[in-house]
Amino acid sequence: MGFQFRLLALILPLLMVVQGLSLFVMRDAVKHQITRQSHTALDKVSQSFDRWLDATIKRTAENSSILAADYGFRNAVASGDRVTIESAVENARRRIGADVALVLDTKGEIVASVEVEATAASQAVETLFDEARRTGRATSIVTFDERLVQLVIIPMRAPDIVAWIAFGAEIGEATITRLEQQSSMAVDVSFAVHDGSLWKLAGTSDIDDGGLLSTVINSNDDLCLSSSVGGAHKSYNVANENVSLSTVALRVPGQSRGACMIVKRSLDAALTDWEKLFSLLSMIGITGFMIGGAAVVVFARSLSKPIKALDLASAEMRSGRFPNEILFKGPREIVSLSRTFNLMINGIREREDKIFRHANFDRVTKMPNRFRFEQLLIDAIGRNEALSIIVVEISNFSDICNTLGYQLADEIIEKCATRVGNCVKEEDLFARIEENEFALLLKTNSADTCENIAGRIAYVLDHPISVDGINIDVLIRTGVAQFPDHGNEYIQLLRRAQIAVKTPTEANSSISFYRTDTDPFQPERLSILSELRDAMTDGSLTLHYQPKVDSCRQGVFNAEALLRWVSPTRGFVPPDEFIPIAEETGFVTQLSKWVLAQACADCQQWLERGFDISVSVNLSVKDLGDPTLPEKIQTLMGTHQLPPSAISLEVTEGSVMENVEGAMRALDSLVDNGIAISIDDFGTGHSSMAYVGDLPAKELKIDKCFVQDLATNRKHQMIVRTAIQLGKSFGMNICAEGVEEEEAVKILGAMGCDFLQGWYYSKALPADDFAKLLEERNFAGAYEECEIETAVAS
Amino acid sequence: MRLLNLRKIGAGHVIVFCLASSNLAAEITTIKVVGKDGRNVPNAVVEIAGKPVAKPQAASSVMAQRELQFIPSVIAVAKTSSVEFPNFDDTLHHVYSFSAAKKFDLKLYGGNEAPSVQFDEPGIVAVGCNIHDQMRGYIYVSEAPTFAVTNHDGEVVFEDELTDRFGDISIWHPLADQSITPELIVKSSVIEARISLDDPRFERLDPYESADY
Repeated sequence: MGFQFRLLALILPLLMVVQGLSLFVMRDAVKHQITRQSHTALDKVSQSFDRWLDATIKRTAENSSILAADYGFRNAVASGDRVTIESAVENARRRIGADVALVLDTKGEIVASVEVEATAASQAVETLFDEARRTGRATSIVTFDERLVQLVIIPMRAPDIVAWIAFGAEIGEATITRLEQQSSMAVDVSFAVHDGSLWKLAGTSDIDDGGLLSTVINSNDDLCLSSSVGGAHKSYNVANENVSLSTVALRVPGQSRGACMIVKRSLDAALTDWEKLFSLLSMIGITGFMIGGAAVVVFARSLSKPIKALDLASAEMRSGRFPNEILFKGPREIVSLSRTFNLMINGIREREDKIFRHANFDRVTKMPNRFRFEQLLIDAIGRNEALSIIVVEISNFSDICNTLGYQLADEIIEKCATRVGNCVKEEDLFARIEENEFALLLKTNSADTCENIAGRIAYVLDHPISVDGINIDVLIRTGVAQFPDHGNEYIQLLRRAQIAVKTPTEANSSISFYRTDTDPFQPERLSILSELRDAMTDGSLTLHYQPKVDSCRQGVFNAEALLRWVSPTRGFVPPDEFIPIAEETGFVTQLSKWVLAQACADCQQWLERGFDISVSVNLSVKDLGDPTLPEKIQTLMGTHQLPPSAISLEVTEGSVMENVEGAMRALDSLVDNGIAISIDDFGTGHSSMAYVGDLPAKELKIDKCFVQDLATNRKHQMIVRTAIQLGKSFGMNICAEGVEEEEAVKILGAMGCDFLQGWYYSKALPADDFAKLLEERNFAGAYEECEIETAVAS
Repeated sequence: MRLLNLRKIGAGHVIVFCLASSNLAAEITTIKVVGKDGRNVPNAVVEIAGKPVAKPQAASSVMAQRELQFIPSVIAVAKTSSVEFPNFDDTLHHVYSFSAAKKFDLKLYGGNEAPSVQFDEPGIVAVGCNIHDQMRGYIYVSEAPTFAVTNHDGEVVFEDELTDRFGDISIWHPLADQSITPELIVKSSVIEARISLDDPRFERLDPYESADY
């Protein structure tokens, strides 16, 4: 629920309750007041009636008395003539302004009547007459049928009582009108007369109520039997109107119920004036309610609007955008909040910038870093543009670091970056992706452009860089990979560019392009190992043996064990492909172990068959680093009951060089055990004359690259001759690999090479085939002993 | 005083004899009219029917007006008698009567005049003065041979013995509409005639007060 709604839900009902309550209370109070005023008014009417009655009685009585003493009147009455009496009485009645007049004889019989039928009056008069006789005069309200009359009876003396005369004031329309007019408030006065069974209204100004008042008084009998003046007013509903009724019971002699004055005041009518006030107040209330509601809404808005804006701004920030400055007018707290919020945003922005710089830019050169380069590369790939990624490696950077320390190295890098940065186009992305590598992203895959730029870079970095008074040469290598030619993924492209860096450049070029065929880092390498592991047990990995032929006797007493792998999935896998991987991963030691074991097993077979044969096994640099190697070999040979001469080991100079001490120790130990060592691939890689002499090798194997074209390549002939001479001078046997032509055999023979190995004689053969070869060759005829001659072809 | 005898004499006559040891044989010549409460009733007319009873003096036939009063206020006259109405006041009087027995009207007359009126019909004639409402007088026109008006002690004294005439005695008083047969109590030489009168407050003269004779 929103703030606004909550506030409204709280305030509006509260307003409503307060206003409703005050209106209710006021209405109640007014009603109460009106009722009270009504009661007072009713009481006043009653009192007024009483006064009127008293005055009327007094006046009538006085007038009557005077009249009764009038001689003429007396004379007329005394005349006994009814007509005369009546006319005299009528005259008298008019004189004193009475409504009704009667003449009674001394017995109480009505002698004459004016404005009333004698029969109607007789009963009422009879009762009153007794009292008049007793007291000399009687006054009472009497009923003539349904007429209500205030009657005064006095005697007529002449001088004794000769008659009684009665004058009456009718309590009727005129009375009611007078009472109603005298009242300060609008009242309805009625008089009710009980006719023995029902109350009947004697005279009323409220005749149009359809007899409802009669119904009320008849159903509330008590009402007319008591006087409620001064209290005991009751409210009734007459004709759907709330009225307050006040009653004054009027005693009528000889009747138990008599008559009653009823004063009615309509409360509703009294309320009418107030109703206007109430509706006005209600209007004010509603207006106040609406204004209150509006004020609440405005107030809530003044709070919720900034909060919403802050919420929006926060949401914007969450999604990574920075909102504009927020500035609110309004409550101090809100203004303060907006200021704080703005400060927070600025703070976050600054920190984010910093983080962004740290994450995306190199600290030293202020250039984009690898992460940023990758991001932009991804973007560029996404746009599917042709791209070239040029990687420039400072190949002697670690040297520089080690020599000058990182601080100066950083300076150098910075200067390199500046130089390179100056010769690339602004729109080309230039980044430092490694400690010693820069990368350049070109939006082209033109080889010429790449060459061009690489040339320029090479040029600008060709001059020494001067730091701290020292001139430093930086050596660079440059490689390029292109999109989409060299891959579709940024990581692949970048890696391939880095691989290209490692690839030697072609002549006259300062850049090397990535080539799939020369990439030693094909991904399938990674699955090779597990397959190779399986191959060691499933028989797809086998040892083939290539004979080394004795150049003098042309016999085979020696063979090099070579791995052949025919993978069920890959087919034939050249050793060049899997051995380097095995070497890199260290799996080569297991492989060597397998080879040794297999070679020993084959060798044992052959020895048992009577073949005098020695098998050469290639060892890797990792094998040489294993201090337990001699022991292992010893154990293996013991297991297969082989003499030490049955196995010889071939090592390259390079593998020894990597760990000279360890290798030497191992080799010495092997030699001590009687195992012969050969130096393999002599003439390639790094050769060190010093080490060649130190190695406890019994044989030197000249690399096939010198032998294959020996017949035609005079340079190679000279190298081979020199190598043979060198080996011989160290007391080693010489073996030439790659012998493919008869001419080479002759030349090598002339040069004094001891053993020849190559297709000319035989390719590497499976163990069984090799056994057959041995059988054919070595038992075909006796070998001649021959001297090794040193012949040097000129 | 001892209640001697109680016997009924005629209709309504109750005679009570009270015998006193000393004057047991005394003559009864006085009638004393008393009210129920025993108070004297002056201005009552005592009538005795039958044989006339001797009286010490003849009844007055004059009703004078003195100090705005009729003096005496009650007189009894024989039928056909005339009554004089002498005016002794300085003011004029207008004496009238509307009574059925005799209506008359003596228009304003002064001190030197003494008009008279003859009453031919027996009955009660209430006399008033038209200009002085408080004045009232009663003339009892009697057919009986003997009649008298009680003095302010309520007594009428006869010269003859009344012992035998108890049944003939009737009393009238302005408070009574007509003659009353009284309850008679013999007390020594006096017959106490007890009458019941209406409340006198407003209607008639006070029966217990009499004007001066």
